[in-house]
Amino acid sequence: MSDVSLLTNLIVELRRGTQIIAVLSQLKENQYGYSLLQKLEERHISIEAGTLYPLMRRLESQDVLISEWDTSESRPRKYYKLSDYGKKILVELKNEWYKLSGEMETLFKEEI
Amino acid sequence: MMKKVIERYVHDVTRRLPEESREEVNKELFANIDDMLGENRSEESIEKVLLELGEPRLLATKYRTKERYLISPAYFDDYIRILKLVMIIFVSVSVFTGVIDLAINPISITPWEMVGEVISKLFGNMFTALLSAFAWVTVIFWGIEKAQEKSKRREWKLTYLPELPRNNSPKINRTGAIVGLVVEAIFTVTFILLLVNYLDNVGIYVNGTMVAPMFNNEIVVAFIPILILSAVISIIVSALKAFFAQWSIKLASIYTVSKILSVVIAIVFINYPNLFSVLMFEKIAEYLAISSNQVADGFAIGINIFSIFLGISVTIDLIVTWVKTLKSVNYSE
Repeated sequence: MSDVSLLTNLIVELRRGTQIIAVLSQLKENQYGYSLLQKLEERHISIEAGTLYPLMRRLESQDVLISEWDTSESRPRKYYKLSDYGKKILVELKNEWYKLSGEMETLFKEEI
Repeated sequence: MMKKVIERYVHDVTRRLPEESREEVNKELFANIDDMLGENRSEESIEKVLLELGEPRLLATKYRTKERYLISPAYFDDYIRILKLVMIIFVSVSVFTGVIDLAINPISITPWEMVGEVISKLFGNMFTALLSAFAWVTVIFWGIEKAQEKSKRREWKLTYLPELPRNNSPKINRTGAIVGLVVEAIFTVTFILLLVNYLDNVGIYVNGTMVAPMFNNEIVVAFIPILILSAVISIIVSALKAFFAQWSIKLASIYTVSKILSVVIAIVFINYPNLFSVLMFEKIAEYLAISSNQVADGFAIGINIFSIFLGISVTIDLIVTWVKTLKSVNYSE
């Protein structure tokens, strides 16, 4: 394996853990699959469509998200947003994120 | 123009999913693809979107909520180890029973045909044995896996640790191997020389004159090339064993093939119909005051017992060899 692909793999691996928190943070309002994908892309969070759609479904089955079909328009769309349980989870995850980020900061400072 | 490519894509994803989620995923995936396409429904645009979603097989696995294994990574090493062991045992037993079966119920006429028949039967048996070993071990591990899923994993304790192996790398005793090689070579050469030069003099003697030959000599003569071939192979393999003095997969495989070959030839030889002369049976019968059929039956039983004994001892030898080999291979890894 070349250095470049190793680095790419490590970055993908590192970012993978943050996908869920990124997705949840954007679901306070109703979103359908593609709109969420675009929203994340605008904020430079890259997640593949083939990863995001199944992930939303999975989070729904875990009661983190709730969904409803909107068939009023010409295109039927399935809208997702955070459930109450999901909101609590997001708060906890964010706290953890700040904690982790602080810990990392400390670790990196010690190196110098 | 590819017809109904979106429908085919979505179908290829949903057919891999559990029944209850199929319809919902189907609907949602269509809607998502629709959104991604927007107003642009050209062939290129469709292709781009579907390629972005990726291979249907992979997308389907992402839709599954839990990971599925036949043998999970946690058990995989154990699985492979047990599989190897069971394969060795199954193959040995099948080869052994195949040899016995053919020796007792031979079909072919000439020695070469018979050896060929035995070898082809052995390969058939080996193949079946490998498949059934694989099937059994896999099914049993799969069952263990299923059972583990239901019950909680038991707490791991220090007492579960296995003992250290006594010696780290099983070696072949080189001196022993060399002595064995020399003895084997002397015996084999003597045996073949006797067979070639003095075959006509082997028999029953009364007062210094031969009254009955032991063998039907033309049969023995037909076997001589095969016996020499077998002896040469066996000596070469013994030499290899002494030379490497350490079991490896390659050496053990060669050893196995040569052992099987020589035991097949030996068993075929002693069980060959009409190997022993009728005249000898008659002379022995005369001496013991029983019928010559009884003598022939007695010989047949003796030969069968000897064949079975030979088969068992080779089977055990091969199992031991392979267990040693796999151990030494695992340690050197």
